[in-house]
Amino acid sequence: MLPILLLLLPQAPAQPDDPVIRALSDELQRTMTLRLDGADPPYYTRYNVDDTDFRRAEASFGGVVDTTRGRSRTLSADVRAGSYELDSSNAATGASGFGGGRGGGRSSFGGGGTALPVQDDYDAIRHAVWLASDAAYKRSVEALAEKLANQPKEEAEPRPASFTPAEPVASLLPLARLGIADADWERRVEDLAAVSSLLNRHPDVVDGSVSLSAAARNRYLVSSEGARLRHGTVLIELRLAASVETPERTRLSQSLRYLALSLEELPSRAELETDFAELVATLATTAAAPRLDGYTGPVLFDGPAAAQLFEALLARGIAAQPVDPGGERRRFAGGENLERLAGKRLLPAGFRIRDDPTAATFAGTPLAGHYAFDDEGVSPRAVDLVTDGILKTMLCSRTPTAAFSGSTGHGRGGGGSVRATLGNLFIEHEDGLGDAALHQALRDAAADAGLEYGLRISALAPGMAGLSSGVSARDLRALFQQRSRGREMSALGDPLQVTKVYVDDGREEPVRGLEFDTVSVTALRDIQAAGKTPAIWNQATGTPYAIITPAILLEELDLYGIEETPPTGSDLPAPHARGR
Amino acid sequence: MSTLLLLSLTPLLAGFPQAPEASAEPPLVTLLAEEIEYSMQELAAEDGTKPYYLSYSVTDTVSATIQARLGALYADSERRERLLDLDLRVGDYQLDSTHPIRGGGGFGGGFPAGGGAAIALDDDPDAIRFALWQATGAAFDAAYERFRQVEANQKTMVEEEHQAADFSREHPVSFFEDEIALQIDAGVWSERVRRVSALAKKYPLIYGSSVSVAGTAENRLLASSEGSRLRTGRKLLRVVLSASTRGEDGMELEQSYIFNAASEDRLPTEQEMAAAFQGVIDQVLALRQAPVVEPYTGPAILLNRASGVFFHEIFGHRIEGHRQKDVSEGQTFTNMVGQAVLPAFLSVVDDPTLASFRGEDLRGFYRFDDEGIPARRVELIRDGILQTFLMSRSPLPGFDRSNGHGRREPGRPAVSRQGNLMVESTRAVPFEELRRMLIEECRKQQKPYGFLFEDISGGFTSTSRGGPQAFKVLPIVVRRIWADGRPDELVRGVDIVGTPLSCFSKILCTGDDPAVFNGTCGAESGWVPVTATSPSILVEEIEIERRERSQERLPILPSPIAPEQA
Repeated sequence: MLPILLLLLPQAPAQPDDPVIRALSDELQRTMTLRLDGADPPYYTRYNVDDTDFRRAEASFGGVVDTTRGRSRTLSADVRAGSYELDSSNAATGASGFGGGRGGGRSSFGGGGTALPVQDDYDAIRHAVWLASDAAYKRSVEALAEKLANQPKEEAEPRPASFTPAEPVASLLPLARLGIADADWERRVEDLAAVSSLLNRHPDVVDGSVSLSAAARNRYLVSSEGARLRHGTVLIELRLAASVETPERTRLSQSLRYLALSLEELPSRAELETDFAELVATLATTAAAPRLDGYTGPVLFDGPAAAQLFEALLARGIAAQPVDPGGERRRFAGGENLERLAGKRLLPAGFRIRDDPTAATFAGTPLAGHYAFDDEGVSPRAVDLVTDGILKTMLCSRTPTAAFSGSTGHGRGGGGSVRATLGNLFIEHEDGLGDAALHQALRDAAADAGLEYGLRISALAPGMAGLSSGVSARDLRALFQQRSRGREMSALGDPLQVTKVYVDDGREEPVRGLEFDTVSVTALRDIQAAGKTPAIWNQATGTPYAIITPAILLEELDLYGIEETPPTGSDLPAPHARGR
Repeated sequence: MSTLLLLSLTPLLAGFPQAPEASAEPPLVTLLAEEIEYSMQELAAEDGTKPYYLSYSVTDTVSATIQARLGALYADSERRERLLDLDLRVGDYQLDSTHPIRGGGGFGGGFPAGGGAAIALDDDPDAIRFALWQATGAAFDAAYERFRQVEANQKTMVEEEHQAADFSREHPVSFFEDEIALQIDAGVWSERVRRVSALAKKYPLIYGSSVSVAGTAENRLLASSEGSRLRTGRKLLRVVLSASTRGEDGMELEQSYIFNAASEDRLPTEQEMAAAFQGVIDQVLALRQAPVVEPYTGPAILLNRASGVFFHEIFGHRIEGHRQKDVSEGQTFTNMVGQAVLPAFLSVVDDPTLASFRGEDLRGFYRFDDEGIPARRVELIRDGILQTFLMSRSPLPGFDRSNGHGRREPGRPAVSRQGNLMVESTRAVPFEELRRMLIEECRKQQKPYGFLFEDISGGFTSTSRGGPQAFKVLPIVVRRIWADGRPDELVRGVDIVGTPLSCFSKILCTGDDPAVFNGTCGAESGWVPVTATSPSILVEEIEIERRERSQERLPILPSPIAPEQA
């Protein structure tokens, strides 16, 4: 656990000696005096600086294919005209007060931020902040005017306020540093290459890689309410990925990720080799398995599949999102907004869902969704979202919605695009079953439905839901490959690892070639049973989060066989399969 | 073969620090060649279709950038990547899988797959073989499928306007240069760009500024089923100094100065950088005070470097061979070979084999193009008469061989592009004389003034048949030259517009002052480094229009950096 120094802002704020904080604070004073024509000065300004120091390496088939390192510092200036009641944010035109000035130069990382010097140079930082604030203020005045002009004369329902005030927090935590010696890194990169050479020994493999990324991310936040924050994390992620092809030349890809706070915590080379061999073997078994034309009946989601199911159905929707004035609520993949279900049943009795960003680890594994402060300067709290199956509340940023107001410390996504986002989502059932009992429950449910077997799904291919947090380039390719074959991309990825579990003796046989019919959040009400051993699904890219859930047995789902036409063309054996 | 190579290399030996030496064949080239042999033998569709041509090229690029603004370091990045490009063709030289599909709109069935795959950075044979296999299989499937579409398309459409083959037959080449490496001392350069960039702190009206050094070292390896085997290296380095501000009317004003070099020791000194940066700042601040001029038609001089950009945009892009073949192109010059397209005192060549000109390194220099064809000096215009086009391996009727201008950015298919475009004149006078002629021309046309275009930031030109055959050039330093002898006056906010054929016919005379413009040119096949060299030109009539203006206002508050601090 990191030591957290929390100082509620006293009358005289401690004079911070951090040049970044000092430059932001000093320029903020000036920004609050900005005036354009007849418009008022901003009522609120917040600066977020995201400082990232990263290294990355990737190996494939025994060779290192990419090594990158870099450092970047990006500023987002949220300058708001108007008042907490009605301000320039979230305007229908999309023009808001965010972003940076042209003179400051755009960040190469996109996202509308302004690049800042990576050196702690007070003058150069202030200069960039000056121009970014100027541009943001001008846009906010324009956005507010447009918002007022588009406002309906009389509104059917009272409009929620634009923004909620928050208690300012001052806390300068020690800077997070990558602190990886080159020699240690190189040794690990050698491991990557060695582990990846396992791919060469498997004739079914068509693609694969072993990658390692390490990032020290320090976040600074200064607001006109008096917040002064600096906090950082170091996260290291190792990823094993492999793809095989089915006889119809459909690519099946799967990956395994390890999250750690230091290189030492990562699995050893030998452990990685064992895991990778197992991953490849499982994929090869799946690719060789018989196709199933369709299925209607009970489905057991275990392993990562249960978390992927919740990710697709709940991850976006459980976070309260404001409605754009004059526009419809944006519909995100996997993002059916659940506000209409508030106070109603979401899952069967006995289920509890809690989001707790303050949890740093679970069963010794670091959780990606842990953070000290959100991007609006609010320290997060654990939120009991679902109690006994009833949706009690939702995760909130500082932007209120019709039903929910008051931040829960979940406003995240970088300074320029803050939205309520889950942190660590814990799903539990008070009467969770052991593995054997759950297996039996699947067989019973299948027997009950008059079936010979039930299905157990242990992993899904990445679906649209994963895009919210940024999937890897390889996963993206697979997704687009899926679409290029004329299929819709759904929030829920295709089942990847599927086995028939026979009613009579419980034996299992792998099958493949299935896709889900549309699955909506109401399917969760038909959960028949849950396990008691939770699995962790860490998403470390984009805005990191974690889903911790036991296995889930759904009473009935429809799955269809994917139609496939084998492509024409060559069949050149892979180099490692030529038998040289 | 060796004779030809020696010929094209001779001019370099003097000006180039490390004369290229033939090394032994690099192991990676051998591996590429082995895999080509294997694939050409084994690759076949169920109906027996095989590729007739396969080439692999691997571009290994190390790039580094160090940038500073106002005395502080921004990004400091270094990156290495190796990209594989392959050209796999099904069919034969006459008609193959790359043939345009008519009636399909645009690229028809799309380009064959296989461009720009990342491959192992070390020469690990297994990892590289694997990447080659993967890309080759996908490219073959795509080429096979596309060739079937091409054949079907041939049957259903009327006979084509041009009957040129799809791919030229060329002699294989074998040549290996030593591997090159980037050697920018990050410690030294970080301090240098930081110090120079701090100069801008004294100027509260300079809103944006940047000083950077950037370099790429590219080692390119190529092997083809025709037997070519190559390794070539290219190093491109730049120091870029830029500054921007806004006029009181909100007009964005930007200036930059670029030092180009082909080796680290030819980069500028800190003093030279500081002087150039000061010049850029002074110029952009002067532009702030300059009046905005009204639309105008009349005589003008394009100063040498500006004229180079002008010729690159207006002329160069229109003599790229593939545009003569594409029915969607305007084809300004397609049927004009043997006819006058420029005044008789002008000749134009494109000579990529030239590494430097009057002491300046040329970015458009290369020994072999991206299809592995030796670069050649091509005489495009002799005494005003169009001779030929810039050719890649995509032949035209009457031009069935490449002249070494098939170029691309890694990851894209090559098309014909410019290298070192050079405008030569037999009616050349000293600049002062040219200026006197401009004033005389003003009087003759009863115009109170003419223009001198000193610097051009770039331009664009539409060569497509659907659009007008027009161009726009974006000057950044423009002076008004008064006929009555008043001092020259800096102005701003004008663009040059026109149509190429009428514009060329109005060139009256040139200066005797050829100078080099080094740039990067973007087109279908991506960004490629190019050079345009030209003397100043006097044009009888040029049309300018007012530049579209930004509505943004000046910053509300003054700069937070107090001038006395700096």
